[in-house]
Amino acid sequence: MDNKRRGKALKCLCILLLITPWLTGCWDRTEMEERGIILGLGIDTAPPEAEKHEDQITETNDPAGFPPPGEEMIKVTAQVAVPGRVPLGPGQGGSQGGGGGGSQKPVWAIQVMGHTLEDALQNLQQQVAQQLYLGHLRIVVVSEELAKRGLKENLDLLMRDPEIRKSSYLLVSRGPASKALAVAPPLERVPTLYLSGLMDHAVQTGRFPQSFIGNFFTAYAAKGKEGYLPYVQPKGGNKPDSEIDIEIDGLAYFVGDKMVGHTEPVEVARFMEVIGIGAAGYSVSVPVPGQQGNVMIRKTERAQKPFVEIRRGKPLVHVFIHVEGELDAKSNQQIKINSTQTLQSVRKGLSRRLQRINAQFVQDLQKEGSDIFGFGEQVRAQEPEYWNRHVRTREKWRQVFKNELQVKVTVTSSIRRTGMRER
Amino acid sequence: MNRPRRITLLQATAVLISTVIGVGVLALPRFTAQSMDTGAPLLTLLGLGVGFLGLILLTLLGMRFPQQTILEYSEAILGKFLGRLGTLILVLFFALLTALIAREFGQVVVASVLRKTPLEVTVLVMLLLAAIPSRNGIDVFAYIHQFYLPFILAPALVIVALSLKNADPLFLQPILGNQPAGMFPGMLTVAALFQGSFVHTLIIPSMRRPQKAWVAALWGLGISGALYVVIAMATLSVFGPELTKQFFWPTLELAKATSLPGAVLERLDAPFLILWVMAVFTTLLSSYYVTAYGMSRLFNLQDHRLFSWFILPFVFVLAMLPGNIHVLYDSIQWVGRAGLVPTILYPLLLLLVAALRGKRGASGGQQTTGQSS
Amino acid sequence: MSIFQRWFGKVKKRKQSNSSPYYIPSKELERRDIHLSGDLKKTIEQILNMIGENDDLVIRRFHVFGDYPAILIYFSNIIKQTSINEDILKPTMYKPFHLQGEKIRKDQLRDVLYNDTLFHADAKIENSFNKMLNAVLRGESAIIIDGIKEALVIDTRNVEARSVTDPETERVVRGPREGFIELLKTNIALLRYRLPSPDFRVKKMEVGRVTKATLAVCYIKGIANPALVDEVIRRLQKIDQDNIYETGQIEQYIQDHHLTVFPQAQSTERPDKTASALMEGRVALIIDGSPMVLIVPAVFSQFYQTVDDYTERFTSGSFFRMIRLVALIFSLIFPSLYVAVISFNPELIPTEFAVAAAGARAGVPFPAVVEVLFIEIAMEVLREATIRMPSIVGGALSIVGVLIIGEAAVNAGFASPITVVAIALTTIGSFATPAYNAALALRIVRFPLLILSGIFGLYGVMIGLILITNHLLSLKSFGEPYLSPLIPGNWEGMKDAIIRAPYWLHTKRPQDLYPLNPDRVGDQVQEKLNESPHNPLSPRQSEQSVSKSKKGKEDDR
Repeated sequence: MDNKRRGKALKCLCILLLITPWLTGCWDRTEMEERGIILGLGIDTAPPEAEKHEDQITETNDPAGFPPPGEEMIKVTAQVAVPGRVPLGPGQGGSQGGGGGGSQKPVWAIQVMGHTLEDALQNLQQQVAQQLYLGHLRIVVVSEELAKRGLKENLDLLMRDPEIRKSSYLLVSRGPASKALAVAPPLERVPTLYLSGLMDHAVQTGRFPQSFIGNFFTAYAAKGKEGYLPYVQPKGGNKPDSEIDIEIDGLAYFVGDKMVGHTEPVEVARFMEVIGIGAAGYSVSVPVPGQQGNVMIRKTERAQKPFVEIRRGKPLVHVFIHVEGELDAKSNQQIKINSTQTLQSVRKGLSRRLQRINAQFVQDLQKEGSDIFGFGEQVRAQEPEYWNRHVRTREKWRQVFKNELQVKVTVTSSIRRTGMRER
Repeated sequence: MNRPRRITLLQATAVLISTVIGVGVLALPRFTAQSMDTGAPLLTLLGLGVGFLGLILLTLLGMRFPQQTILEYSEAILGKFLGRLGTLILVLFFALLTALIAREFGQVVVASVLRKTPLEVTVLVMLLLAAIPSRNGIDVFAYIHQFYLPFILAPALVIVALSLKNADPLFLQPILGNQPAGMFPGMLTVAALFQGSFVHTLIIPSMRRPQKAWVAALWGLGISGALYVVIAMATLSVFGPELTKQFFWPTLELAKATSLPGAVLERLDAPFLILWVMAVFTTLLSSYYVTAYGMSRLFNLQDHRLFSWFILPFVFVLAMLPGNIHVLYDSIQWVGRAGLVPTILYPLLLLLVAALRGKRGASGGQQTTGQSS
Repeated sequence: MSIFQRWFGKVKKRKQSNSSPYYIPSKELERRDIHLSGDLKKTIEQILNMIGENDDLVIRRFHVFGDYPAILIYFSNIIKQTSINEDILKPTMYKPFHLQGEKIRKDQLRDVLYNDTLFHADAKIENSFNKMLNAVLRGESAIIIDGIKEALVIDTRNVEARSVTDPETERVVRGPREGFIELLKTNIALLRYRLPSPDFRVKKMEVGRVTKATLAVCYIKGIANPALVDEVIRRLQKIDQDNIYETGQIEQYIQDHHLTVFPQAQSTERPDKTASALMEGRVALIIDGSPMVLIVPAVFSQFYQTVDDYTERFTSGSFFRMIRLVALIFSLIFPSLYVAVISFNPELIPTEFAVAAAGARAGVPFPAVVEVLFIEIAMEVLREATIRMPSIVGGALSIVGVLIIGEAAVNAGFASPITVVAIALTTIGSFATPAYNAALALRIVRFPLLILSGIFGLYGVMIGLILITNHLLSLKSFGEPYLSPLIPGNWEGMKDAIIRAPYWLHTKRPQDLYPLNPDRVGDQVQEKLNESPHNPLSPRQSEQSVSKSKKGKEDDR
């Protein structure tokens, strides 16, 4: 009995001892209003003289620091949400939030210099009272200039930080990234949300392949694949008061972490055809044999099957593409699409045209040496022996892709519908 | 010992599944991708085979001695001294295993969700969570495993299902991997993830029908192994082998890369990790229970409750020994592989000796006690 | 009063005799068993000694059949006066009709009184003074005749009782409107009325050293496991407290686990609920003086089931049971989830909402945990205050509390509007749990969960939930696991745990109670259900049947 009581006392003591350290708790508690919610980041190259004005905040000025001084700096524009300026609910929206603009801006854009993204954010923290919070980061815009210089240092933070979501977008902008971030559309209260909405809908309607940060990382890490990012162009905003508009202006393709070029918007469709993304959005114009003028065919569905063989010691990729389309418009009223034959010949024209332009597109990218299609992965997966013997590394594959790889594109198509008109 | 025979086949299976599925799942794709890149699912399967071998040996022993656990019949087979020695080694190993599980998960939590919370606190919380229910009897132990089972399987399967959208089957080919060099050590590492199934030996003597223990073993490892393979496949097909190697916890990244349709929750990594606390808890509970029970056997005590508090500080100190995360993972790999000796070779030895010496336990057979009313 | 006293010859004497101030009658009675002596004077003295200080004690002297001096003892306020007058005094004073003229000897007197004279069913003969006195204390009347060593004890008890009304705490939409009342006999009547079976058993026992409340143990023989009944009675016998008057006290003596917030017995006011629990093989305890009936063993699933689940179609029954379960879990974890998301993981909520929430919180000086804790406590105060208020005031107060205080708190920057909304939702959700005692348990458990979430965020919520679940899993009620039939899996029970399966699927009683007779429905229930029905009103057939019946009528003519 006594023993039992002693045991109980001991137990209580143990529990007390175990509970005590908890009392110092709440280590991670940061209230909402104490967080500076960063919604978007824009990364630009900085003018060379910027370094002279830099304050000693991080270790980057140290000769042994990272990256060593002397490399060019970057200018980061951060969009921090201003609490209270983004009201919820339909009622108050117009009066307070988006429509007004001016002093009632829902976000606060701050610019800061740094050597890397991490460095710049540290510098930024020095200026902002709230604790910077990247959990709601939706958009990172990188200027074309910087993308061509290489993204390596900046990507590392985006991959490593557990707060950053993998489903945010990384965009490359023609011109300064800060301008792309400053889009002020009347449709959405918060500019960055508009941007991410723009991308979301582009993916849904088949105007762009899904390209979250995570997708880029996957391609960037894979041995036989290169990354690509959406290429956007801010428009307007030349006069101080005019609103800035933005458009998806193609696809920026990379070799490693360096951007090498960008495509036209219409070429995005070709790319999506070659890699076989189901949702299709773009149209293609096809001449009608035997009649004057063209018809527009809107693609509705695609399917693709790649097939790899090694011919004479060199890889050959066959890409079989099937496209389904819908006749969307005629260039003039004289054209008559009222028989199966006509439709068939239009269909054949479509296939031929698509085959030509897609093969051309692949060749163009081969010239640039950017395997955004992931043919390397196809080779690795389907012909591992060849891969293990001849390729093995990323660098080697780039050479093979540029010089040795042959790609044959075969397109078949079908046109199912001609809209609501009979002819 | 007179144990109530209450544990059903379903419960025994649930114990195995929820014990095996634990913190190991988070890092599994990395281990396997590092050893065999795209061959990771195959490697997982091979590791499962090795793990299964150990469990089958244990089950055969358990069916041979349906009244006792390995900690007891080892003395009957090998003699008092050697049997005790075996038990001692087992207890030490499981204490170490418990510590490493708690530490690993504490590390995950600190690295991804509670970034400013001291590691010691998260580890201690996990250990406490296991220590409190380990004071209950074996039937409550089985209830706990049974209850959490759906909550362990569901999030993993949901994550896998949602990630199918981003999956690229290309990353699963060739199934043998491009550089299958690290196959054998990788296999052992994966097999080590199944060591928790050792708890089966504690369950068999309390099962309603110990003769059916092999069915539970089959289903238990089958389902948990299938989940391992599926997770390895999903992670690999979303990230590709190269990226998978770079993540510490690819499965967690998988949760991060997926989003729920309907967007009720913006992100799934934190909820997944939080739900995974349950999976880790059940794993930890099992190894903690084995440790506490083994201790009580070692000191010839009937009641293991005393030890459930007593071993806590020791396990905690063990957990805090590895300096950083790389040391931690090195030690996890080494302890795991070394642990195959007590969990596979030792039962093999026991089975051989028992067969040679013709030892056999009293059959605790079909006596279904029902309600002791 | 004094006239009455003289009229009835009431003897009333202040007791000053033998005892010290510490003379306690109950102790004296406990100490020894006194027999009736037969000496009237001595007996009166004994009675006065024990209970003479009560002003409501009546000792009425009279002569049986005009010859034998006797007394009638009773407490004046607990008896039915007409019964005393008509059924006792009148027949004992007059000699019965058929015995007119006969001489009745003293030794015959007892039998004559009992067999021929008393017009009262519930009369018995006692020779123990203790028992006689206890009976009088309960409201019975005793006749003691000079020279006879036995007393006639007649039940004349009459306690005012309210009528059987709609049970306040467990309302139903569809189902009987009867609730138990305080009187044991009415309650047993309500049960017997529902279970006219030879198997229905009521065992009475006394609990409470002073209160001596009658406790009825009800069960159905042949369904309830006898081991369970024995165990219940064994545990009841161990109760040794002086004042027991409510089943809530009994619950605290017979439960398995004392250090827990979760109730392990169900208390109900509804006879239909009790009867169906008995039919499952449970045991019901009814105490005289309380309308709350205790049902043991009780498991968690009973606390979110209602009568309406069973009276409505199984589809609606199942759906609303699930809604209730969701509300239960929701009200338990929502505040802590809110705190965890707001102050630890705001990345989980949509960006627009996160920014808006940050704006709403901007003026609040406290961390979210403290804020939620404040409002939660305020809410509990409000609830506790309104619960015992007169219902007219209560309604007004709750409106004042919720609307005005909430609004003012937000305006004063004391709390953010989102918090107020969250807590209001939680509070409303917690009312969805039908069992009051289980709802109380969950209300208490919410607070540690909230504090854990304030320390560890979502991780803390999960830790808390695991602790609670483990605790629930380790609980047992009379050996029945608390989360059964879910854990350990029990297929038959599962049909009535989370969903309510149609009745013809409930072929067996829940196995976790080990009922003696597991069959619930007949063997051919399924087949009979699947028989093609007659449709007397479907157009063609009805014409035929109508014409047939017409024909029949014409034939009759």
